[in-house]
Amino acid sequence: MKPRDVFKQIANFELKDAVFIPSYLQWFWGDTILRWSREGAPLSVLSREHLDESFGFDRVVIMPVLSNYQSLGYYGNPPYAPPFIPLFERQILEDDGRTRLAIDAGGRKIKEWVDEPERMPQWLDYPVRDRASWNDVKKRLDPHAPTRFPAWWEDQVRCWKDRDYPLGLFAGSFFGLAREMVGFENLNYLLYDDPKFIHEINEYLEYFWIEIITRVLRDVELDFVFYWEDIAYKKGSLFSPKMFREFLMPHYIKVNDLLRSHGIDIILVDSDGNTEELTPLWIEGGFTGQYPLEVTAGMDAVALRKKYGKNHILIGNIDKRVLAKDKAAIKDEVMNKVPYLISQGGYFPALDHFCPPDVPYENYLYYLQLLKEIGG
Amino acid sequence: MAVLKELGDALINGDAEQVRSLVEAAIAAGVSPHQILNEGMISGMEVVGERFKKSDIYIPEVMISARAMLEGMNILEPLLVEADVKPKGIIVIGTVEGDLHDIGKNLVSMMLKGVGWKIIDLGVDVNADTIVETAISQQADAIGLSALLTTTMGHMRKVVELARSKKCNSKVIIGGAPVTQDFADEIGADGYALDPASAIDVVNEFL
Repeated sequence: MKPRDVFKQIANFELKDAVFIPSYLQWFWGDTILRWSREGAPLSVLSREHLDESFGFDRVVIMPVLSNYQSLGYYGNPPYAPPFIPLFERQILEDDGRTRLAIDAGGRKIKEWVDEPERMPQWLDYPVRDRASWNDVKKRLDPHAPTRFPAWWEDQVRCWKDRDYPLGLFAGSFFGLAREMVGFENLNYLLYDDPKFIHEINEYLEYFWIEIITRVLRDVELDFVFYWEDIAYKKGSLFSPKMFREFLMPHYIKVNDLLRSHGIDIILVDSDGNTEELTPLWIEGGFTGQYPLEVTAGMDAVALRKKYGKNHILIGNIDKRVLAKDKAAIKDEVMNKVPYLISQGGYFPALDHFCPPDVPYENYLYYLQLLKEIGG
Repeated sequence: MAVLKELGDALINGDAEQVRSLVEAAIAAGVSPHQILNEGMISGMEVVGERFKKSDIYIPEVMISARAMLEGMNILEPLLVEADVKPKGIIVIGTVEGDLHDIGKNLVSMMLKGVGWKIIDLGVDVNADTIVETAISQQADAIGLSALLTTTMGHMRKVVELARSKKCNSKVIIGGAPVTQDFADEIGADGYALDPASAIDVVNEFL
């Protein structure tokens, strides 16, 4: 069976007891890779796609359309910026050798680490403060900007026609992208002070994605779509179900209905934190799965599977912290989850976020070995 | 007293303008700053905290209430100082060294201020020496530490160890995405707060 078919059959709960490790959803910090290169990992780990191949991940490709927040870092890692074309011009405002104040490519004023570009900065100010600034920023979110789609698009499309791997589009983010442009605190205040403004932003974002998706669907047989939201934290959802229904649900339904009308029924969302309260809302909104199911936030894929049955694809939930412990702990973690989850279908193994640099290379190899043994 | 009940309700509803007017009205009516603070503002924020804990309200509602509280406090604070009204106590708070994340810390600060604590916010990327020295010099009742990353939460241990070695009496309370009760126990922290609302309970328990 082609990997593309395996992926779809697992996602549709048709294929059980199969381990498919989607390359796109195995994430590593740059410091982790550097550590592993010193611990005997082959040079191939220094290239993202060669790492995927050498670790035997199952190839999953996200099409190179600038449709969601983009990575400006090594390895597809942070720093991230919204899908602006053009990006803001980066400016250094102050530099004390350890940290610096800067305007980043997303137009945000940040305090960042000089020597650690992947580490989360402190966000101090944002480019969207009011309607005037939003009207300026919106110009950078033209879905038809000439460089939004890759050059030689027709050639790409031709190559994809004969593919044997799943191909997805990274598109869709309403809360997440609004927050990136407006700022977390300001967004929370605006939800009450000027909800109409938030609606305007989301209506535009809906247009942005529908235009991009429409063009993709015209030319390509897509296998899945992957949203990014990060709309939860340890305690649960960042905002109420009522606000979810008011500000997000109509847009999710519109975009996801478009996808489903073209036969795309693998519609995934990425949110850190405890998303239990959001899961039924996402299902209602047309999503069919989520990632990464953070263990420290209390997420439990086994419990979710028992609760949602075949209603929801689950990806992740392997506690990344355990990989820093011993092999017995890793085996416990994997064996307590993966065999059951794959027996039900609808599960793809992954750590519950970026693999941190306190994980030794041999431990990661052991983890992969376990997955492969389980999958036969 | 009706005006104080209205003040509490306005704060719960996040109506900053109404909070301002009602604080002014209460002052004009001769209500003491201490009474306005305790029976109007703090009692309102306590309701907010309880509702947040039960997930009856969420972060946006907490933030607009906290903003409304700050509006009221801007008027009330000088009067409280004049009347020599003391806060419940002092808490030194910061995000640990190597970590620039401040959203969680800011929420906790807002909620603790709202229920009458004086917060000395040291900001982000704060080293253990600064945290402990500030706690000692300010005679802080507690130190609140936040970390977002598994790679930075180790600095919480440094703070605990330094505080003990310097005979700092402040209780150390920790929180953040990767932080757990087990970790708090492991490093000898006095308390662990799952979320901003729980921070109030933890502080009340210890102090």
